[in-house]
Order: sequence, then structure tokens, then C-alpha cells
Amino acid sequence: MTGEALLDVRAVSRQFEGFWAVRGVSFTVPQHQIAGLIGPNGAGKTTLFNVVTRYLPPSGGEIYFAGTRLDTLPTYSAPALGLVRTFQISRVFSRMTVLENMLFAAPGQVGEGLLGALLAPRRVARQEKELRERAMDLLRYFRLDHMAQNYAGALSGGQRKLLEMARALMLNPRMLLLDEPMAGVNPALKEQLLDYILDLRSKGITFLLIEHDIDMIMRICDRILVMAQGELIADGTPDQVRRDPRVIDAYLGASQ
Amino acid sequence: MYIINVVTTAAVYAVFVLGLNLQFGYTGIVNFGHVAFMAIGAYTTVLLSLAGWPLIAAIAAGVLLAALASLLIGLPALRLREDYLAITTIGFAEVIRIIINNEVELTRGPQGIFRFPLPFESWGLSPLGWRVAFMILCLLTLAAVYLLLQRLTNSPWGRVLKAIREDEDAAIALGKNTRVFKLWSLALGSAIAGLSGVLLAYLLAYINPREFLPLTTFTGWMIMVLGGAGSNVGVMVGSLLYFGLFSLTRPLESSGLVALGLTGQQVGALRVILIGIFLVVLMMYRPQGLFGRKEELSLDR
Repeated sequence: MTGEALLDVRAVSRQFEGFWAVRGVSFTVPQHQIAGLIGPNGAGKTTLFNVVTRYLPPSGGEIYFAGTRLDTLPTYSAPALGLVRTFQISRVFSRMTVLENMLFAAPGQVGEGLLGALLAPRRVARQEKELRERAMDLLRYFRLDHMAQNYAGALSGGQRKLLEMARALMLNPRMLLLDEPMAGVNPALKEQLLDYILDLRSKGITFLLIEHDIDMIMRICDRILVMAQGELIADGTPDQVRRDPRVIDAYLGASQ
Repeated sequence: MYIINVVTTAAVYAVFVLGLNLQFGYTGIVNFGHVAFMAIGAYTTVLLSLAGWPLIAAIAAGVLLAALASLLIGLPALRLREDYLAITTIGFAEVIRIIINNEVELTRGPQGIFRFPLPFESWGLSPLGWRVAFMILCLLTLAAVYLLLQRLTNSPWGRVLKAIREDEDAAIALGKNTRVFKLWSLALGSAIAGLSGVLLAYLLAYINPREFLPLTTFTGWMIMVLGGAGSNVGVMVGSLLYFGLFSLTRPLESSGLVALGLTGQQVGALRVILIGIFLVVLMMYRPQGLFGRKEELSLDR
């Protein structure tokens, strides 16, 4: 099941004016794994996510993705390496159409350079046509194709989640980082999202996801990382983690 | 003669606002110092042509310098968001104007510059003939800028700008180096403002720092909002409408209002008030502007 480590997080810390939101967290995610990151509110999950994707610089530690050191590169370069994230609250471009959202995400577009846009209209048109086909394929896969020409802002909350995932796939990612993909999603769509994640994994994509829905995470994850108060307190299979006294303690302690 | 002036002025301002529309309407950059780049274009071109540069070279230098100046402010300031960027740019524009006002040896300061080379001078045209030729030049310039911008904003490059306007962080998450796109948008918009400054100098045949007060920037914003931010056609119609309204209310100055005891200055102020009321009413019924898309306003983020 597991291959070599795709994401390698080494002793990563992040502090905010003396408060350690993440402290000395190390773990690796091998290829083709679905790893889940759980923990009580305020455990530092989203901060860790933001540090891994370079939305926040780490206060210490190193992050490697597919052998490339990530934490010294600019934020926009992670997707080009194959690491794409989504956000806790879906961030589709509301005032662009669903299809435009998709086309935007494609890397390496000739027409994104000023010179290409001005001087190579035919090459741009050809590329746009190819990208449109790929985008429509993905939209069909996520059953959003009938909405292609609608503004993304007109989508329902669940459809936005799907569009965000579809859009990320335009980048041909090797790994997706999903920040609470199931939050605010109705039960039917949760099942759908779960199927999509499993199907995409079978197509070779690695996942790391933050999730509050413990049932859901126990069902799809091969492996679970548990954070509490900025530190990684457990790392194992769903069964191991479920029985771990430190985990039970962290959750009960936080809820009482 | 009068209508020629209105059309020429509207064309010059339409060019100016097309630059602003690229920055704000498409990219979401809040530039409240747009007039600075107009001033840089005007002064650079006039001073260089006075120094003996051929007109075309002087104009090119003016446009280029406007773009470079925008990078000077953009490199540090584009990290700022919305209102902070607005304050920084308005400050920059005032700095530029005050420098022009005080560098008397170079710019003749508040006196302004009266005599400088104009286009078509060697053609020996009558004053009316020159006005017509210059109007055509302005309209052709406007058409060229419009076509350039239409092509760019409808390209994948323009799509990136729109995405930055919507949500810059999400654009970065999808692998776009948004900073570079914003700098290009700023520089290109400012180059266009520089070009409009050159045209303004020729239109007035006189330049003076007072032409480049912050009010000019806000007139530009008014035109953009009137026409609909994000619509290049809207900007052009908005400019014509704005200056059209101004000229339509001109007969007021020779009307019975003066007989009623109002001074000419008071009637002038009344014209501005009438235009203001028109804008307020328009914004109540068409908040997206004349050519903006209503559904874009009602979509939440």
C-alpha cells in the first residue's frame, strides 16, 4: 500500500508572539496514503496546514515534498511541484463562471504571459480548447458540468466543495491537502465526497486531510495523526489511535 | 468647436480611466493616486520635447517613465490591502505634484509651461482644423488602447487578474505568482495614464501642477463607477456621459439664474451638484454602473 515518503515534515514549529501554535511536529506521508489530521479545537491543525503550504513561514523545522525543500520556496511554487491545498471555507472565484474557475487553475498557460496573450492568439486558442476539454471532463466527473457556464457564486455550499476539488485537479496534483472537506456538508454529499477521495486515491493521489467528523475520518483514513496543544500526540492506524489513552484524554479533557 | 472639445476631453479621460479600470476593475488594486502617472507622462513629454527630443520619442519616454514610477511605488506598496494601498497611492500622487510644484528650475513650478511643441504643428492647420485633427488623434489613441485592453482582459492573463480581484490567496494556492501579475497590471495601467497625460497637455496647450490635484483621480473613479468597473466599454461611455452632462448644464450659466442674483461661480457649483444628484440616483437604481453586471454584485464571496 505505502510507497516512499511524499511529504516529509521535520520538527516544524510555529509561534505567534511567544505562543507555540505548533511545536516540533514531525511526520511523513507516503505515496497513495490517505492520512487524517485530527485534534480538539485550537490544537494547531490549521496552523500546521498553513505552515506546510507556506501560507505561514515556520518558526523552525523543514518541509520536504517529493524530495524538494518546500519551506524556503515562495508560496505559489508548491502547486507546481504537485502539492495543492483547499481551504476550510471554500474559496471559489464567485464572480467567474465555474468553467473559468477550472481554466484558471491550469498551469503553464501561454496566454498567461503578456506577450503570449498579445502575440500568440492562435496558440492561446488551441491551448484554451484543450484545457476546456479537460475541465469539462473533470466537471462531468464531479457532476458539475451542467453548471459550467454559471457563476461559481451561484453554487450551493456542497457544489463549491466539489468545484474546489475539481479545480485543484486541473493542476494534476500528486497530493491534496484538504482542510475540513466535510464541514457544513449534508450527509448524502459527505458519502459522495468520501467516494471521490477513495476513487482519486486509487488513481494515485495522496491525501492529507483535517477533519472533525471522527466517524468519517475513521472510515477513509489509512492513518491518523492526532494533535493537541500544538504537539503531535499520536500517529497510527484508526484502530490504534482509537484506543490510545492520550487521545481519549485530549478529547475528553478538551470537552469538559 | 464646443462639441469637438467635449469629445476630445471625454476621449482623453476615457484613456485615463481605462488604465484605472485595468487596475481596479479587473485586478482589484485600489489606486487613488492615478493622477500622478498622468502628471509624470505630461511633464516628461513636454520637458523632453522642449529639450529638442522628437515628439514620438518624448511621448514614449513619458509613457515609460509613468510605468516605471508605478513600479517604484508598487514594489513596496502592493503588499498592502485595499484601504492602506489607497492611502499610500494618494500620498505618492501628492508627493509627485508637490515635487513638480517646487522644482521650479526644471518644471517652472506653479507658473506652468505655456509654449511647447504640439503634434501637427508643421501641417499649418487653422485653429479649428487643428482641433479636429487632434480630436481624431485622441479617438484613434482611445481605440488602440481599448483594443489592446480587450485582447488582454479576455485572455488567460486577464483571467488571472480577475481571480486576484476575487481572492488573491486562492489564486496563490493554485500556483499563480500573483505579485508579478499585479505589478504588470499596475505598470500597464499607469503607462496608459501617462499617455492620457500627454494628450491632456496637448489639449490644454498648457500644463500646470494644479491640473494634477487628487480631484482628477476621483473624477476618474467617478467615471469608472458610472460606466461600470470592469467594463471597458462602460468606461468610454461613462466618460462621454460625464463630460456630456457637464456641457449640457452649461446653458445654466447664461440662464435666468444669474438674473436671480446668483454669481457665475455659484451657478458653476450648481452644475456640479446636479451631476452629483444624477450620479446618486443612478447608483441607487444601477449600483453596478451602466455597463456593469448586476448579478456580479449579488454574489457573495
